[in-house]
Amino acid sequence: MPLLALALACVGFAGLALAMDRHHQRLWKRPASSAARWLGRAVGLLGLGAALAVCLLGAGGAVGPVLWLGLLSVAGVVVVLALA
Amino acid sequence: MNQIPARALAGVAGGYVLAQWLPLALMEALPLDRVDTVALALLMSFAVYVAAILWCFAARSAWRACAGLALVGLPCGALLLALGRWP
Amino acid sequence: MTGGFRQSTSWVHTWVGLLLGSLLYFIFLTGTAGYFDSEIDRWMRPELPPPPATVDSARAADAALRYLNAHEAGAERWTIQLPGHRDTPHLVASWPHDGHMEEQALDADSGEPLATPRETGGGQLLYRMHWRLHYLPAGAALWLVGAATVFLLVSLVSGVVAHKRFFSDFFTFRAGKGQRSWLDAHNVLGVMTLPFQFMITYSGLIFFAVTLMPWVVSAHYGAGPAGQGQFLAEFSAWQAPAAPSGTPAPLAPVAPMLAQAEQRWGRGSVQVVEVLNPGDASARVQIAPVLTGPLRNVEVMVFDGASGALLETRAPSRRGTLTVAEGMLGLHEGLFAGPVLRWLYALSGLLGTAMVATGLVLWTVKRRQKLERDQGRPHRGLRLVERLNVATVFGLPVAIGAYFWANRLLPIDLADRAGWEAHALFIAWGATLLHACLRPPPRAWVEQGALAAGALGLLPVLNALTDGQHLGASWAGGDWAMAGFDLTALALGSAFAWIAWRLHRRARRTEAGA
Repeated sequence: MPLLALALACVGFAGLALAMDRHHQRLWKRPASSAARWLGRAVGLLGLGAALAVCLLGAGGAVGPVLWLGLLSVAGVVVVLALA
Repeated sequence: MNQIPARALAGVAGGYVLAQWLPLALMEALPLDRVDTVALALLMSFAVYVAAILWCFAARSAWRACAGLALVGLPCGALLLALGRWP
Repeated sequence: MTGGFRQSTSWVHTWVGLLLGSLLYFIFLTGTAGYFDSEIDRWMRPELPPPPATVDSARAADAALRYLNAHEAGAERWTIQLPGHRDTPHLVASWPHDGHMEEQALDADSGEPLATPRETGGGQLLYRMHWRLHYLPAGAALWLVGAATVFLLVSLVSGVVAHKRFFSDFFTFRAGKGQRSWLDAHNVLGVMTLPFQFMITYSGLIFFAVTLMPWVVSAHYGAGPAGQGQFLAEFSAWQAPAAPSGTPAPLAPVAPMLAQAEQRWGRGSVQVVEVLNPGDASARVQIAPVLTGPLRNVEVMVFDGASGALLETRAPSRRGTLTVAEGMLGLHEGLFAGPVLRWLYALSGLLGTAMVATGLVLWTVKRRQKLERDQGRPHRGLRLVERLNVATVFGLPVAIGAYFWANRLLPIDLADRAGWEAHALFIAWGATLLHACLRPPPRAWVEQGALAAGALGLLPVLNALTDGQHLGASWAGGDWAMAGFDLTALALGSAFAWIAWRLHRRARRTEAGA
């Protein structure tokens, strides 16, 4: 369960990152089009939201959000290192 | 480097006073028992302290920083004194 | 947001950060170690047998009660920690004696005392240092740590508010660009753990709130410790235990009480059994569950000691402010965290430690780069900080390693052995400071990195050679705390070795090019 949530969070953060010109340009050599930005942010919201849902379902309402925030830190660092 | 020592002193010292007086004064407006009053004031105090310190660096001059703290702090102090809550 | 505000807060962040950086690094690193305090305890007391694999709570409680009845019948209170939980792996009976608590670890089946382990502060002492420091009087430590924490909070808020490119820099780390890279790293480490940082900082202050903000309490309760004590008693709804009646009465069997508790909370959920006034007609048995969430105040079942009847199921206080406070403190301590979440806590702590470290290094890198541009000579302050940074960032891990080496190498019957283990930590830290002052910084980093690699990475070998178990045995035997410590030490040692190797290669290239 945490692994699934982590994967979803990574996908989410990757989406948010690639919606940004700076990072989009590293992969696609041109700034993000508005469609790409929209898609990236949608993936971001869905990924992070799904990760939260998985944490809530798996660990309950008190521990779930704590777990989610911890996993977000890992996912964030993973995406940063991937883009570096 | 705009008047850093003066701002820092005002923030650290004045902020410390405000961090305790402002929550206590605000709590006078809420009809809570003294346990909740003190607890809530304690929980709030550090947020007030940080805000006061940041104000002292955001204000346009050290003088304005002190004035701002006094503007908020002195009425609080007066209220507490009047109500006999003088710590 | 005026340029003046950003400039001024940046100045304060930089200079106070420099002043308090080593202290904050110490607080973060020892605090992070604290999330594995029980595992460190296990490694530092190798004489104790591995914790029991399966636990029968009723049997364990009875075993403890037999021991307590035989040895401490006159005590006013018995506390029994049931095994099978991360922070209470062994059955432990404790009782008050002369103003402090005495305790004895027991075999969970027979109730026989376990082998007396070596005198050590264990993981608890290391963890305690993160707020109590060491060698300083309690008040001084509290105010110093409190001040550092307020500064950290101001830095976090001002860092976010004044950071011009907070969102556009969100995922940015540009490697190989000197000062830019260090700043990116410092920012990323802070931003990616921002919720943890705010939580840990603010909740850390709440622990000390009554002492740090005394006028708030004295305005309503009167000045001094009496007023503070009164407030805390009322806040936590502390109930004084009933006085003994004087009429002796044997304690009713505890197994049915445990059964009721487990029925309510789940099998294996009971962690603490407390007997007030044992052997008296007014005896009470209070049973508490293990924490499963951030709220530290739990439901307690209270039984009549003589008859065994359930007297009340005392719900945790409904006071909103207490719930908020206990929730914050519970989040800080993370006692409820299972293995995955515990590792996430430790990782966040480590990233926070790295955030402080990158800040310290950034200070020197920025000034060195400026010197190269302006063809200037290094200022004595810069040279000092470059050296101090080595002793802080790599020296403290070496020192913590020394704490563990002392645990195994100091003679078992040394007087004040626990104190000497702590001295070893600080003596080693002092030695790294001396080394850092005597060696050119690029070499010092490599050498202390290598030292940290050895001090930590060789711990499993030390374990196997000195009264401990070797990793293969503890792994096979399911002694996860022992095995986990060894594996983590190995991993950290390897990480330092890799870093030291990379720094060595870079230093060689620089020397060759110069």
